[in-house]
Amino acid sequence: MIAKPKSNAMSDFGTTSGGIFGDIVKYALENNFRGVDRVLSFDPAQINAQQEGSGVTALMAASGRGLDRMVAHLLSKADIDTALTDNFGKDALLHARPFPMIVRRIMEHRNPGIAWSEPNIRPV
Amino acid sequence: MGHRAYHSHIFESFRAWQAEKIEFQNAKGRTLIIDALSKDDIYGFLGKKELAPLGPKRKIEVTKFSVLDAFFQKKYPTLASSFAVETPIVELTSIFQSFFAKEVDAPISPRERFEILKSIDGVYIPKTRISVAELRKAMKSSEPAERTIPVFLVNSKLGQNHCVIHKVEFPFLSKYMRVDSSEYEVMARLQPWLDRHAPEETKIYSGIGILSPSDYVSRSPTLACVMRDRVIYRPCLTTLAINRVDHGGIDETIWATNGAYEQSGDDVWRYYFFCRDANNYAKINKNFGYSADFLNDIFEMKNTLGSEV
Repeated sequence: MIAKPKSNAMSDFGTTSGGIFGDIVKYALENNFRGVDRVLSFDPAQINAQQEGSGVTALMAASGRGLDRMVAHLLSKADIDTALTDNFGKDALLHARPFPMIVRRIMEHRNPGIAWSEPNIRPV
Repeated sequence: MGHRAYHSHIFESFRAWQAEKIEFQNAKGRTLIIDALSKDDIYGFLGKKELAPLGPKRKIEVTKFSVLDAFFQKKYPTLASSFAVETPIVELTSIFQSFFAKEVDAPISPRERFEILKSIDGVYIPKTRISVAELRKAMKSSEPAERTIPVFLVNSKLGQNHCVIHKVEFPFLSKYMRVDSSEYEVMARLQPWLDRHAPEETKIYSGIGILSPSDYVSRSPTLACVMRDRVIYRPCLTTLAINRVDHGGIDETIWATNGAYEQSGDDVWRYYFFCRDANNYAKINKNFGYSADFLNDIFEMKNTLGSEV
């Protein structure tokens, strides 16, 4: 039988999004910069917080919705982890796959100083 | 297929897998009791409407449903991967009803299914429906208004009896409208407000489209779309009724599609225009107010998403 997705894996080793200062994942989906900054000003660890049930982070949410400016904003924050995966094993890069501009941003954040080019399109 | 035949089909599949020494477990990791599911259970589960799953004395029990769950995960892994986290039973029941097809008068032969899937591969673009009055009302009252253009992308894969379907909700952007169209003027005027009130997000739902003919006379197929949001994994269930045109002669029938209706029950939500490839731009341009940029973005998205659920 094929493995079911993990039900709430992030609570074992990470921070769950949502709380008295608001849900950073929700704000990221709404492209609400002020909301994101407010949450982070109270709890900087929320930058890598994962939503209960899906394991999605603010970066994954913004990447999957094609919110380019929000992705840039989140990547500018300290200690952001671009390698986290959700409960289905998808990381921010996989969420961003339909949006080449966001893939570029994440790749260039992971590899500072190296310009990213889509493989098989232009020489790297 | 009736519920008895479907029951036999499920059990023959299990017997074949067990002959290959495949062991099945339920969600708790215990051995699956395959005999827990009887043919009456299938009728009890699926002979009803999806929103009323309690059949006559047929309560959905974990032991019974886990047999169906295991069957689907093994038989149709791509289908199983399209289930949402929140409402798996509703989705599984929808899929079963599409397969079970209780109310279908005209079953589709495998060859015809392949022909239909090949003919509906493309994109479905809605008629422009930007309502200035609605947007103005929303601006004044800060009420939410519809600010997306939903497009269906259908990717059929050779040898599969279903297709992969993506519903992409593109944001309202003036660049998506033809410069000489009235919509362009409206969008350009409202763009600052739209930017302030709605993020330029592109919402993507991905999943499976299952074919079943909707009625015997027109033999127009219905595509039951079981999808989920690619970001937050929320389910999205909808139905596309495909309009087909028969260009065939006596010996050979060539099916072509000219559009689709998105419907819920008997209600039609929205009409979609069918476009096989970007070369149809002239046709789109003539019929609708969309720009070449919009069409390019759609086909780029179709290629990027491909047949990945």
